[in-house]
Amino acid sequence: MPSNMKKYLITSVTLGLITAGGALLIAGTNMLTRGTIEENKIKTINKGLSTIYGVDTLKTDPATLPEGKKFDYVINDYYVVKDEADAPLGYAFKTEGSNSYGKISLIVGFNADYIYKGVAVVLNEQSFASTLNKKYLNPLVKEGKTVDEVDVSCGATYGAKLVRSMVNSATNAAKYLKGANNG
Amino acid sequence: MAREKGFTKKNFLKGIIAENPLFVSILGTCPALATTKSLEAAIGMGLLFTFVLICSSVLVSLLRKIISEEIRTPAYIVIIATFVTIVKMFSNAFLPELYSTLGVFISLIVVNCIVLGRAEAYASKNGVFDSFIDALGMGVGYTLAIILMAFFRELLGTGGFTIGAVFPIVKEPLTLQIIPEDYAISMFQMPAGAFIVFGIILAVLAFIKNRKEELKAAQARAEKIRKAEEAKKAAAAAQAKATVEGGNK
Repeated sequence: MPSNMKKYLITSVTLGLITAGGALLIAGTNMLTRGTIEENKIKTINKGLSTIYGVDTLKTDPATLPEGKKFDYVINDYYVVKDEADAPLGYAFKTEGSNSYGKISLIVGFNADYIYKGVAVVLNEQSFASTLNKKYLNPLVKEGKTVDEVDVSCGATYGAKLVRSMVNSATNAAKYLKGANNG
Repeated sequence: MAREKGFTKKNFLKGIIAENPLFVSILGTCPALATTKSLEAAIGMGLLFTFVLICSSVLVSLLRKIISEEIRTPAYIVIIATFVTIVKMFSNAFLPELYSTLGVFISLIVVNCIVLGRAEAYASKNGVFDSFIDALGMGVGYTLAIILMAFFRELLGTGGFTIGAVFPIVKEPLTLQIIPEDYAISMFQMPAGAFIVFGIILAVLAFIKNRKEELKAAQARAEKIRKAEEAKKAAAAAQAKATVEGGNK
């Protein structure tokens, strides 16, 4: 075997082994943390829903929009939110979007009469992350507006345009659901 | 290899004071400017950063004889990226608030010049223990530096400190209001405020360093004058002695 070939082989094998070792470590960590990360996601969604609907404990049933209809940013599943006694509280739409500053995920809640209830941040990976906080989100849409009246306005934060588009999209999804449910 | 007495202490302290990565080498400024809005976020960033720095330095030092010259940089990047991914997963699972606050800046530790710089400049040439101490010193130095920045930014920007928003040490986050909220200058929470605080700290440190050097120079000058005077006196005494001896003869 030419000496160059041997050198290249050793170099490649070394780098390959380091990469394989790294992959194994990451896989092990993933096995350890995956369950907790999933639990955290559910907890964050429930916490967001509790904030929106003002109740400590609630139940959620994931559902799909009629005829598999899709809206930008809106995850196909929406949640039918109920209180502990199974009385319907409303519908919540999970939205996900990203711009050049990072990813945002919001939950937009409407009550059973499709009146806007509020919005909660589930994930905010925007750089300079905490610019997207309650202070900016609370006046986003005035509570009590119906899906036909919602007019989103928010401050000049980094994710303002994205947040506005996500809430508008969730509102359109709620409007569609209202139309479908009312026949 | 015999180690010079006090080497370990010096090796550790250099990262905190003489070679502080942020305030002296001006490295890792991007996360330092972005994650210093709150004291808790800065502490979190510092801890994650120190963990990655120590682990990657130790592993690079362990593998320094195996990693050939040609694959040095890709090998270091793979090692650092592995530890950053692990840290990211653990913080997402066990410190979700910290994960969400730091956002993309956890991933960006991969390309932090300090981590790659220590691997290249120190760990690849030194033993495991020395590399560990060097990484620990640099990590602690960087953490203290960003804590100092965060202290001023949070205090001036919000008027106080929030405890428990990032680390779940209390059930509900507590706000310690020191300056009335109306007098807080929110600009210090913005990127511009980060640059201003960073600039002021650098200026103060440069002032202290210059003062020290001036004092040292003044002391050296005084010593030189004193020695010259002593030499002059000795020469005069010798001349007087020679004159007396000449007279006697």
